[in-house]
Parts: sequence; structure tokens; C-alpha cells
Amino acid sequence: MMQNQFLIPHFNSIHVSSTFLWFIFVLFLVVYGLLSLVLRYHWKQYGMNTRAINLVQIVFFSVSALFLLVAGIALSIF
Amino acid sequence: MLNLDPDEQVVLEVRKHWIVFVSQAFFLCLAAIAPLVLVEMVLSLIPFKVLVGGSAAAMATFLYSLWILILWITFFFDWTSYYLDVWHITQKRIIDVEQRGIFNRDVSSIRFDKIQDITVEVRGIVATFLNFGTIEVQTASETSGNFIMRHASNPEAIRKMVFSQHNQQSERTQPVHIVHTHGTEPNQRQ
Repeated sequence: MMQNQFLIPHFNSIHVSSTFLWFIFVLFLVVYGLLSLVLRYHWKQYGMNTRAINLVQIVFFSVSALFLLVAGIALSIF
Repeated sequence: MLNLDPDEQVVLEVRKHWIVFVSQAFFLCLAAIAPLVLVEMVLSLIPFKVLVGGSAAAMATFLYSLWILILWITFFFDWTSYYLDVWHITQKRIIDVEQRGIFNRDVSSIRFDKIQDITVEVRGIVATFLNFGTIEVQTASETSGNFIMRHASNPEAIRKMVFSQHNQQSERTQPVHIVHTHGTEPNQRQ
């Protein structure tokens, strides 16, 4: 029986380059920025400016910045 | 944004019990530690080699940071849905904000004089110990229907508060103007 080798892509290894990871990082930043805007809109529009909302905004953005920094540093080392 | 009357203030905000949100967050915590446990297993299962053109530790840190950030934003989407799904009880009415997910939001309100009855249902051992349950406000309104909140925190206290506000509203004295048309002075009573 003949096997059709063209139906399934076949590879033994993938190569992860620095350019590829930077591309993922930039794409991630764009998506993350959009989602953050959605959250911020809801907090601003419907949150009634309560203490909880203000606190949540600080925590969200500061921890996000921390992890983005870690990701950026890791990528620079890579 | 709530559109309140000038003399209207929110006296109580009613949300679902925190256990509802914590149970959602628990799965995110599991997802956060999952890569640390599963990475070796997944790498052994995939049918190809990953050739890293740099430090493998740096790449792992980078990918794990992104994973945590995905979970972090998911956590806040969940929290926002939880926090914005609320009943605002004012001196005059109940404003029901139903936030289903992040992009689905309904706001309706019912004045106290339209409320017919309030039922509270606490079912199960967990609900009894943590004091949460379903509260249903039955209304005489044809447009808004009944207001229901499931897993509401401290439902009995909410029921008492609504009845208390309802009674205050109905007992509040209204100015009555009596007009005499046969030569006597108009009288005003409160």
C-alpha cells in the first residue's frame, strides 16, 4: 500500500530563534494592551470609582509590568 | 454608570458570595503550576525535537512569564464580571446590574412599591455554613419580571434591608395640600 507523504507535514525538529520569540512578544504585547484597555474601560465606566476598583487597577498594572519586564529581560538574555 | 435621583443614595451593594469567585480563581492557580509539572511529560510526547537557538532557561522563563500574564488577565476578567454583577439597593429602589461575562450587561430597576415578596433559599451544607443562597424579589411589574441573584452573600440580611427600606419608603410622610374653595384659608398638613 502506498503512503501519501504530502498529506501530513513531517518534520523532525523545530528551531526556536530569537526573532521568532521577539515576534511572539510583540504580538503578545498588542493583544495584552487591547485586553487591558477593555478592562480599564469597564473599571472606569461601570466601577463607580470605588476604592476597590482603584486598588485593583494599581495591582493589575504593576504586576503586569513586573511580568512583562521579566519576559523582556529573559528574551534579552536569550 | 448609575443614574440616581439627586436625593438618592446607594445604601447597600449586593454581590455573589466570594466563594464563587475563589472557586474560579482556584482553577487559574492550578493552571499556573501546571507547566511546572507537565512540561517534561509534554516534551516527551511531542514527535519532534525543539532546537533552541539560545539559553533554554531564558526561553522557559520568557514563556512562563507570558503564561502567567495570560492567567493574570483572565483572573481580572473573572473578577470584573464578579464585581460588576451587583444589586444596588437605594432608599427608593433596587437596581439590578447583570454582568454576564465582560461584554454582556443588563441594567434594570424596581421601585419598592412594586415589590410583592422576597424569598430566600439557602441549600446545602456549604451554603449554610458560608451563608449564601438564592434571593428572589417578586415584582408586580409587567416589564422587569422577578429579580433573582444566585449565590448571594448573606441573603437574609438583604431581605431584611429591602423590607426595611420598603417600610421606610411607605411610612415616609407626604405633604398633603387641602384646598378650601368656600372662603376659608388653604391649609397644609404634613
